[in-house]
Amino acid sequence: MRAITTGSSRSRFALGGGSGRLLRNSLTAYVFLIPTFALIIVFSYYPAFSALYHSFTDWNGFAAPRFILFDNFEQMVGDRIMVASLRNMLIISIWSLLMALVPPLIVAELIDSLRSDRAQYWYRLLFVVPIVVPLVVTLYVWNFIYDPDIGLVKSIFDSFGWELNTRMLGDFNNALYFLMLIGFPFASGVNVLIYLAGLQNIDQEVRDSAELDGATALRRVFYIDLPLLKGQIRLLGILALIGGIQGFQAQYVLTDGGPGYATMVPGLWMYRQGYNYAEMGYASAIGTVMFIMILILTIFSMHRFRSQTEYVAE
Amino acid sequence: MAPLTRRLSGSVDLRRVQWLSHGILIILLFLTIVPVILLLLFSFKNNTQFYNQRFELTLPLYVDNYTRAWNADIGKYMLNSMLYTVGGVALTLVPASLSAYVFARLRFFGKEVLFYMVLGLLMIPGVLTLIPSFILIIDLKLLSTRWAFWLPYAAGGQAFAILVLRTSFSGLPEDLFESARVDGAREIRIFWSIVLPLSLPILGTLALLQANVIWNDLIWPLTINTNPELKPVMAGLMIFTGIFRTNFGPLFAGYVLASLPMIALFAFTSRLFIRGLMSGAIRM
Repeated sequence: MRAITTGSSRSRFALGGGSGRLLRNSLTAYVFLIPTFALIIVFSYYPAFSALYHSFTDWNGFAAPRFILFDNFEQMVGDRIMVASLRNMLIISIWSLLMALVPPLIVAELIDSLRSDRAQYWYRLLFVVPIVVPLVVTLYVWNFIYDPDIGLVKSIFDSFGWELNTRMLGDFNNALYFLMLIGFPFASGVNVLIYLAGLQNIDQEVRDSAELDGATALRRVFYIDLPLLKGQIRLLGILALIGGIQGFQAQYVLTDGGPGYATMVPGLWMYRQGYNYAEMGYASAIGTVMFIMILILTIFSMHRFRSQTEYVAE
Repeated sequence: MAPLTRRLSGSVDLRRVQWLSHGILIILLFLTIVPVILLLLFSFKNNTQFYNQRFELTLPLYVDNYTRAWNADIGKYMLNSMLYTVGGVALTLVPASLSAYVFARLRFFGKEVLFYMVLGLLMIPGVLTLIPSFILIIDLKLLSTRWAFWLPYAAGGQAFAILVLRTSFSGLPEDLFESARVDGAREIRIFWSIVLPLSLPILGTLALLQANVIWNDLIWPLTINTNPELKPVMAGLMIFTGIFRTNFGPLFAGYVLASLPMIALFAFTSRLFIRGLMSGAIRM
């Protein structure tokens, strides 16, 4: 793809006769970009810079903010709940990265291995349907699954005559892990289809000849499929990391960060600071720290993990 | 699909492997849709059944939950949600496809900087901007208006849509563009009569994904709308949680009703949706 685009832009360049064409293209381009940039400058960049600015202030959200330089960030270092929530965030992020990448890949490879196109179609459809269920409903349902007295997990243990000695989401030492298991088996529909698309775009002859050379299916996955799925893996991975760092809906609906601070994460802690304690300045500072972490991780993964089908912005 | 016959080494019994694949997929599929099944099950239970036989099928089905949910103005809220969803999707995709076109197909000054400005939006935590966005909506005098839904949703959808559409548009064969330009077609015309018709599946897929996000959003409507007449359905159901604090049947019936439009949309457009997702444009 890169070859096509760079080659063609060169010829277009020659055709248009140098910088006159470039200038005219630029004007057209800017006109096309106006709607997008009007929207994102007002409704995305302005609020983001406002939050950055307020992270250096003491502000309750309504009265005039008072400029206090780095006090919010210093306060964060001594904030034990913040430190605990960062640890939880780290565990959750690594887990959500793995769960966004591995189970969908397994499902995609399994679907891809089916001979019947009809069966493939139905699996693709059925795996994607659950995404229409609102997250909050899924969370409610899981709450009933986990209910320590009459929940599904408890019933299953009872029917086997096993002892269940944890209160799951109410258990200080294990609540975080039970929270992370919500969404099991993590065969999320969209990710499966994105992988499948990648697999089916791989030249089948390459895959077939690997099999002919006696490579097992597992070797083919590692040495042929995975390297050619880099573009998909990178996108899904970055989105999963961003989600893992800022997500807090499960905590918001189910545990409120508890018991104690066992499931607290920076996103929820920021929300609490902002809306419950009117510490908008401190809340903005937490948001800024999260933004910086996401930025570093994204840049890092972009550099570590360049896909060879990359399309370079000219 | 190349026949699997050639992909597996001869020693493996092919049919057994196929059945194994089916078996694993069916188990995973079942586990994936368990929450959906439980949601349906709960929505047909009265309170006694909900507390005593929560995970069993209880007959006769308690359909009254649905009547009660419907009588609590769910219809009106769903209409609001439809307005926000249709408007939000249109306002997302029109600007995004124009931008994606120039990022994919034109060479111009500042292209890289502008593109990274768009891409960078993916990294801003939503919760970071929640409070300033709320204050911005107040300052613009948009609080409790429909624009307070449409414009921020449109802005929020730009980055992902542009990223995906740009990959998709740059995969179109350059010959099409060259011959149109030789014929003297202007960029807007090329965009309208070549790029858009060829990109319907991916546009449909993005529309569906964005519709799903807007339809199921909860935090933003609760933040910027205080007018009960303008409530979308997910926020409307929150009030239900208050009324039916210990009465989950009607609440879950309400969620089932609220999910029906999205399920219908997916059912009718599933082929297009899957074709768009399978076009391979969703990667980096």
